[in-house]
Amino acid sequence: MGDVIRSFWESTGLYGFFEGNWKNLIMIIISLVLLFLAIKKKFEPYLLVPIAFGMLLVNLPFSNIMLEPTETEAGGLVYYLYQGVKLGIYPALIFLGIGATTDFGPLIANPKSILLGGAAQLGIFLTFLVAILLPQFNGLEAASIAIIGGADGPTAIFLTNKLAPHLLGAISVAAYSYMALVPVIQPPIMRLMTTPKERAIKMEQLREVSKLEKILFPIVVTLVVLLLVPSCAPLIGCLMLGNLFKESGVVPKLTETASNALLYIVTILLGVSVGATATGDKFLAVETLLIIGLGVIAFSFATFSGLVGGKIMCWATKGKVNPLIGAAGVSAVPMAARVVQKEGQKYDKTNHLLMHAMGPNVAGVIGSAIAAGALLTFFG
Amino acid sequence: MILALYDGTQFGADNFGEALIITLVAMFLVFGILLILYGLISVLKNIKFGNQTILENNQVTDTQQVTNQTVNLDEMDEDMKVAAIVATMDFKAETNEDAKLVSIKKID
Repeated sequence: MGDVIRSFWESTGLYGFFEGNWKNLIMIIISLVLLFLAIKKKFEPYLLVPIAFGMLLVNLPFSNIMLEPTETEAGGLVYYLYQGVKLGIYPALIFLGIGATTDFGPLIANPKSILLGGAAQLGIFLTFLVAILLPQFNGLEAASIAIIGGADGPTAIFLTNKLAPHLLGAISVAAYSYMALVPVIQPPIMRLMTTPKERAIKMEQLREVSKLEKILFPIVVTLVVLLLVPSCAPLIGCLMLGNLFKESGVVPKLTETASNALLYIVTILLGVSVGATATGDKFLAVETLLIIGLGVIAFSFATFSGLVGGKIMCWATKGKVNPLIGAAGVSAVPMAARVVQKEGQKYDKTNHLLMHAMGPNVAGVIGSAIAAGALLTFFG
Repeated sequence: MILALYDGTQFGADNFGEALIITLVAMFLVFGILLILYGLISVLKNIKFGNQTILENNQVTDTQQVTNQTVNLDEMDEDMKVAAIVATMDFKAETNEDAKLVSIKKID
């Protein structure tokens, strides 16, 4: 009887904690905090709920959910789901869905706003330079950490998986956490960088964009970007394919599938798989704290450089561009654009900057994918 | 197959000079591509395909067509109703005057 009770006790997860898996216990607490933030505070819940739950599952002792298969035994469930991340399938499919839901009309109507999407990518490169100076990181890891500044989850996962897969958990959690914190991080920088007069600038209404322009846009972007930086083909290719589905109007069922069912299915698989990479042994390290610190630098400097771009554009157009829209160049669609709208309305309730900010916002998605492709060309 | 230009595992603080060059080249690449896209997007509006004309011309036609049509509230779909309500609210917020909705123009 004693042996039965003992063997039952030794098979439980509780026994695992007492046997030195205390790091897993801390990770479980972290996952519960993330679940609280996602559910109660609504911080990026569509991503943080699956990520945090994946983290919870993998850190339960003996759950073996990420166990690699052997010749005699099958692997854990999430191990197989994770192959979609490892092979770079999920980020690309997420981009397909994003393309099918994104309206590039504001960018086509005001093409110069694409440059603001580029200005905000400077945060990536500054962070790369800072990270490379730290002895803890090599070139591959520094490039993966830097991409957090792109504020684009799938791009961060795509690049990290190629360059430094062992940092995937920390980088994806940091990237999505900061994306969720856009409304907290960006407004103080916006106020610091702009005057009340600049914030109150009203922009001219955007022109209407023809259907032909919208159809040609994804084809032109694909040709130009992929001829110059082929390494970002999975991201830009899928983003533009999804957008072509939408704008062509001839495949409504594909558009519907890509923008709803497929997008949400892949989000679940991606979130759980990425969360399951954050095991106590890998996550609870000095490097993780450094990644979280560098993530703030990346995000803040991306916002800063986007605003500098906005101010230059404001000056060049003799005050016709509200510099706040530069902050939306950090991707994080559409939250960064919403923050710009909200901030602008604090100074003039009749000022509607949302559509103007959507231009740099969607340009930021293209810009960060190109930046990832460039880093991949150097280190991939 | 993409060939890496640097061995990232051996790349560290000692290679800061090279990291700076990588940063400059990558930034140049990002801005260069976005500038090309800026130029191409700017000319997109001038492209006409077959019978399609650019929207400014269409708008005149649409307006002429729509002014001859009367759409009752009951005949409107959800999108039209929402567009009408939002436009009216925006007008009210901007001018602080009472608004009277006279007609709606549909732009495809």
